[in-house]
Amino acid sequence: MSTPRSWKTTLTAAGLLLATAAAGLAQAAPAAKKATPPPPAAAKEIHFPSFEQKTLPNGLRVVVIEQHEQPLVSLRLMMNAGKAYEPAGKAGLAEATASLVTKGTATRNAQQLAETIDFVGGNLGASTGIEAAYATAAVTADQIDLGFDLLSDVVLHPSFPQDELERWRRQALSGLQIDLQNAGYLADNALRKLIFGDYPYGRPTAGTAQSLAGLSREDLASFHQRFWVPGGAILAVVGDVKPADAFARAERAFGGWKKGDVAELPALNAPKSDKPRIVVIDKPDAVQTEIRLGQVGIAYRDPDLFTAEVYNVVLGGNPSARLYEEIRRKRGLSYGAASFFQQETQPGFFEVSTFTKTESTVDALGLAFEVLHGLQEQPVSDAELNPAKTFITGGFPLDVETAEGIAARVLEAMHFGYGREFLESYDDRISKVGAADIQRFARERIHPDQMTVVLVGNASGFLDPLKKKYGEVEVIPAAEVDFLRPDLRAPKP
Amino acid sequence: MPKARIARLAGLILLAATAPALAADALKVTPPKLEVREHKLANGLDLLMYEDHSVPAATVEVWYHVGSKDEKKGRSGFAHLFEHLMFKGSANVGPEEHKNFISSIGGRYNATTDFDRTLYYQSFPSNYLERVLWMEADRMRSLDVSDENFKSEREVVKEERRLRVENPPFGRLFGVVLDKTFTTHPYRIETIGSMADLNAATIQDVRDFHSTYYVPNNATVVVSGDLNPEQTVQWVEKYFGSIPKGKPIPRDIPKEPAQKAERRAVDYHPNTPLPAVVITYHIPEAIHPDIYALQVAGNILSAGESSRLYRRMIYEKQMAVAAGGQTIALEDPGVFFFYSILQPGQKPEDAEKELLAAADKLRGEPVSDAELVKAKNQFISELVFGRQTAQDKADAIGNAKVILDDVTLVNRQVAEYQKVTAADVQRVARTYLTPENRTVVYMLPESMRPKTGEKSEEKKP
Repeated sequence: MSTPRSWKTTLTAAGLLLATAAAGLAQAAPAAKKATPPPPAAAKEIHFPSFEQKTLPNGLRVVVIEQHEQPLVSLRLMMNAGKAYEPAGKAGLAEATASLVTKGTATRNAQQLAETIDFVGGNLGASTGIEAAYATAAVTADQIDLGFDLLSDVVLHPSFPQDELERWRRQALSGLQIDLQNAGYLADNALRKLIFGDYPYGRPTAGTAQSLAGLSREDLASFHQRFWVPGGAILAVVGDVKPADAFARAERAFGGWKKGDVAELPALNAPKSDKPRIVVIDKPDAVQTEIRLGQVGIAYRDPDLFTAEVYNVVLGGNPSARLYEEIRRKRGLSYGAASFFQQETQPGFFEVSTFTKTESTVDALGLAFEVLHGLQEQPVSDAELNPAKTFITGGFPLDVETAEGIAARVLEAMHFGYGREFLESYDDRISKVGAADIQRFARERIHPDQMTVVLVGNASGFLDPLKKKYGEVEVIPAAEVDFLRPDLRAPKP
Repeated sequence: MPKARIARLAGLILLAATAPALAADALKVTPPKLEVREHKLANGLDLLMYEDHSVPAATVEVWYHVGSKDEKKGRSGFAHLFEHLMFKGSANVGPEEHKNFISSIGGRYNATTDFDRTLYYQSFPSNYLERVLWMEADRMRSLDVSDENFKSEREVVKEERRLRVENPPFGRLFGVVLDKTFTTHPYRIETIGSMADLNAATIQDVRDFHSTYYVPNNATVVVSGDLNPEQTVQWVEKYFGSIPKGKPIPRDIPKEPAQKAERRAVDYHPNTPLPAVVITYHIPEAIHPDIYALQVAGNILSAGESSRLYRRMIYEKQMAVAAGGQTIALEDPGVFFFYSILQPGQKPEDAEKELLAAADKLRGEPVSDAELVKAKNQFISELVFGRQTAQDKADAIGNAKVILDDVTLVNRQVAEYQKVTAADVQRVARTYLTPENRTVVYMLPESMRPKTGEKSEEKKP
């Protein structure tokens, strides 16, 4: 059961902070006579929804979140089996393994699996992130038996048929052919590889044509055997189900899953630099340049987690943020400009991203740098800080509106070793972040002068002004980019 | 990615509602009924409310019944450009203040424009409901955009067009297909419009568009979630009630003449990484009863890896990376389209043969009982999973009212789906999936363009 901590205090505080913020905005606006907007009603109490958890003897943690509004049940299994655990040289293996588990088990072939789940209008699948792999089944509540049956079948007994691997490989290679013409895909993958070098966080999740060609069914089967284990895994059962019933079903479906060892990651050893590194990926047919600036970020368990979150909202984590203001609203240079922290067990990445027409590439990049420096130079005002904090805390009722929304929060916290207290104190800790914390974080943890910059676009349209402003620039033709190499360059033949 | 684009197309299809299960294998669940309260203001504004107190959050949507099909010639993309300008200030709300306020209370907001309607939405802690209604009323009554803000936002929209259409692989596919399928009706032009037309738009167009279409008699307000209906009616009367009714809405939209013979087109472009084949057929408007059977056909062709086209073209023949057939049901007559993105080296002619064979099979024989039950189960499940949040519900309610012109359909569609028989599916296939009603478009990589200097049928963007 959940601790009945009140969220009312937080929301009321939000209201007060807003009054201050609104006053700040009013000063900035032209002095027209305006009607006073209606004030908010009293905030209502809302608690972190109840959830129950239990650990099976094999180590699998099971969380049950009830939500009876719609007759549905969603099962989400999170395992330490993402790309970070791939052996060197096997980029794409985690993704291949996840893709193939639904393509044949000891008792069902691919078509039988597809027909069974499609017939009930359900969803059965598996996917990968950086550290985590997920296997999911979502069905209407009357099909709960089938949901557990299918999910445990694909997780425990995949057969990795050779012909299905070949089918998948062919599809994946064609998918890559499309992705490699996508400037955004090139920019994202290039940035991560340059930031992390040979550390596995930098690998392309989808692999490359070369790495996919080298994957064998033995690779998949042994990756599955080693990493698709209950140790470190969490199963969330959410929806129209009672906890006792859900635990009993989880026990029946996953009790026989062989224990295995909890997987661990090596410590981060990302490349270091004392100056910015600017890499241009030349795509002569582009009309718009994809722009990324990035560096190593922070780990999820970093004491600066909450400061980083507020910093990010002020910088580019919401549609009123500075990057949006400077790049989109004031100058119309882009449709979007944002920043993002990917937090993992080891420090993940921090990135700023935008895109603009070829001819304004250098202007948009310059603005991104200016905004990053700005947060180091001056403390943020209350009029800017308070709405950023209430952007995070005020959204709580929306975050917990669906069982899946609650599950996402619970799974994330549990994956990184936090529990209920963390979830319940989250907003209080956000509320306590001050302007001095933000400035300290910007100065100590964010390093614009050593960032990695990736520009994917038509180089001939911006290379000269870029070099004039920033000096040294590396240029790689899009067709020659190799995401397996730390410098993105294929070895010379 | 083509998948995103295809998902967008698929997202336009109607949702089913549910009824008691018929066959033994049918799902046993019933999606909860949505109790909708209605209130009409004297100035013509429609208010729809759905009450649900499970969390202290609410969604407010304002639907304006105007989309890209209402645009004047030479002003393509204007409805969408205008949507952006609605965030640029009104008499009592400064530029950007609306969105900044919603963000500052932890809310989420946005707006979308399609062929038929423009939709503004926000979800937020429900104690701010009155404030949100006040802001929405203010911009309906008194939009006030400076020329400077207009011009800078137009640049933003041009970047959006580059992002969605010009830069990504297959970005042009949807636009080319529409252009070849329609000759007369404004569905011929993608909602984002052309660069030339965006450049030609003026601030006077903005004022005219607002006074013509952004009037209470062309708007529907949907409030969903933690609300008190009596109080909500009072607030809506207070803030929207005094906005003057506008003139009758011009609806002089050119009709698409019946197609008499197959049309074909080939488009070569560097941003087409793999060959794609799309075949479109004209179908009736969204409220036509045949749409239900067409949507059942769409599920049988493409919903899931056990669907006909996935199994045949992707799984068995391994000739395609994507394949399907879907209904795009619109307020005016829309299209049923078959599509396939091919594996490298595959011939578009072979893909066309497969897609036409799938159409012929639907015409030639009834679908199996199992396929029919599966398709209906998929609709019910989509409804259960697709109506979880206050916003999901507001979307369904608003669509039923504004596009289907009957809010009770939000709960009745299910029964209509359950009525569809195998004979209905065959009948609609025979009626609409005919050779003379189709347009066949090949979207091919630039590298496949004939090198002899012969003229191709390509249309310049």
